[in-house]
Parts: sequence; structure tokens; C-alpha cells
Amino acid sequence: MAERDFDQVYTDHKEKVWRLTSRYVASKQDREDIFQEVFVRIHKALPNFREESSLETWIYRITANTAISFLKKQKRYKLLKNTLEKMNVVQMDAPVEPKEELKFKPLDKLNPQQRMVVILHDVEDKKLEEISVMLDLPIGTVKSNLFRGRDTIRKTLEDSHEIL
Amino acid sequence: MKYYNFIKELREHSSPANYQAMFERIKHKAGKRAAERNLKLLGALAVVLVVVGIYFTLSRPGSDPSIMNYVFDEEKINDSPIISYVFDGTF
Repeated sequence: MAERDFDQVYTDHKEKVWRLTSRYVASKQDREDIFQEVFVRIHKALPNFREESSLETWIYRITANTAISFLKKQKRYKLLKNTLEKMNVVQMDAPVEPKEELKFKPLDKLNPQQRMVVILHDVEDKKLEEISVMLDLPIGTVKSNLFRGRDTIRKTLEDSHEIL
Repeated sequence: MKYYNFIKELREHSSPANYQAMFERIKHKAGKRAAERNLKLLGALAVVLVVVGIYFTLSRPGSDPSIMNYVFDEEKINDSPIISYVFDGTF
């Protein structure tokens, strides 16, 4: 792969990737971490890209998978941190969440996959079939993730007027 | 209705990005990881070469066959003095 190809891919797709990561996670630091990880993976995988799908779908797939695994790792880390705090092994101050991040609160109740499906379908306007290809999931699983995700968000919004 | 307001808010959400700075960091990370991968490959190759080297050195006719017999020819070892030494303490 010529470096120029990667540079071109970056120029053409950076805004889409940033937009999706910005809608997926609340913290700016997390967004930047995911964004950079996505393009490091693209840099590595671009020479093997076989054009079985469009470049855009391929990039969305890498972005979605990177973001999902990032959130899974972060959830495991938080769980461990909470356990250690309960056992008084470590003591940490509760993080102060900026107002901007509170907007994302209802999404926190979803698992990383549901969260991605809801964002891709309802915010990014992707079709169920496209999401199925991007996330490598059967269409039935995509539909059930979407249904459960929407339901959880609706319930969270009803329960927490004060947050929003 | 609340759900659609929430989605609308997410759609309108925008966050400024410093693409040039992130591009530099991506290039740096990608280069570093490629170097690490090459180093791992070289390490694995070195291990394979060492193992192959040991194998051919020991399997040469001039070498003491009893060591290789342990590995490759279990039956030959059954009546060897090593077994007597291990179980009876005598040669």
C-alpha cells in the first residue's frame, strides 16, 4: 500500500468516522482513542482490502467493531474498579461528568452492541441490511437489538426527567 | 416523542476535532506497531532457526544417540542403561 492511499482514505473518511465515534461515546478522550485506533487498524488492513464490500462499508465495519470492543473493555475496567472500591483496595473520587456527557446517559443502559445498532439505524440512517453486514450479525439479531435498545432508552428517559 | 427528541439531539451533536494532530499520532502509532510486529516475527524466526539447528546437530551420526532416542525412538530406550540407572541406580 502506498502511504498516499492511506492518506487519501483518511482525508475522504475522517469526518464520517469522527461523526460516528462522537455519537457513540460521550467523552472526548474516548472519541479520540477510538478514532485513532480505527485508523491504525485501517492502516494495517488496507493492503489486504479485497473490495468484497464498498470501502465505506468496510470502514464503517472497522469503526463499529473498534468502538464496540473499546466500550466492552471500558465496562470490564469499570466493573473491576467498582469491585476494588467496594473491597477498599482502591479509593477513587467520583468523576465529575460535564454537561455535554449527560446527554449520552440513556445510552449507558444499553450494551455496546445495542448502542451501536441504535446509533447506526436511528442516528446515522443506515438500513438494517447494511448494519447486518457491518456488524456481521443476522438481520434478526439486528432487529432485536434495535427493539430492545429503543425500549431501554424510552424507559430511561421516562424515569429520568431531571437528567435531560 | 421524548425518544425522537433524544435522537434528534444526538443527530445535531457535533464535536470539534483536530484532524491534523490526530493524523500525526495515527502515523506514529501505526509505525510503532509495524516495528513491533516485525520484531516479533524476527524473534519467532530466530526460535525456529535455533530449534532446527539443535535438531540437526543432535541427529548427526557423530552425536550421542541416547539423547535423541528419548525424543524420537522410545522403544530403543527401554533396554538402555539410562533406564537401569533411573530405576535401579546402577549401570
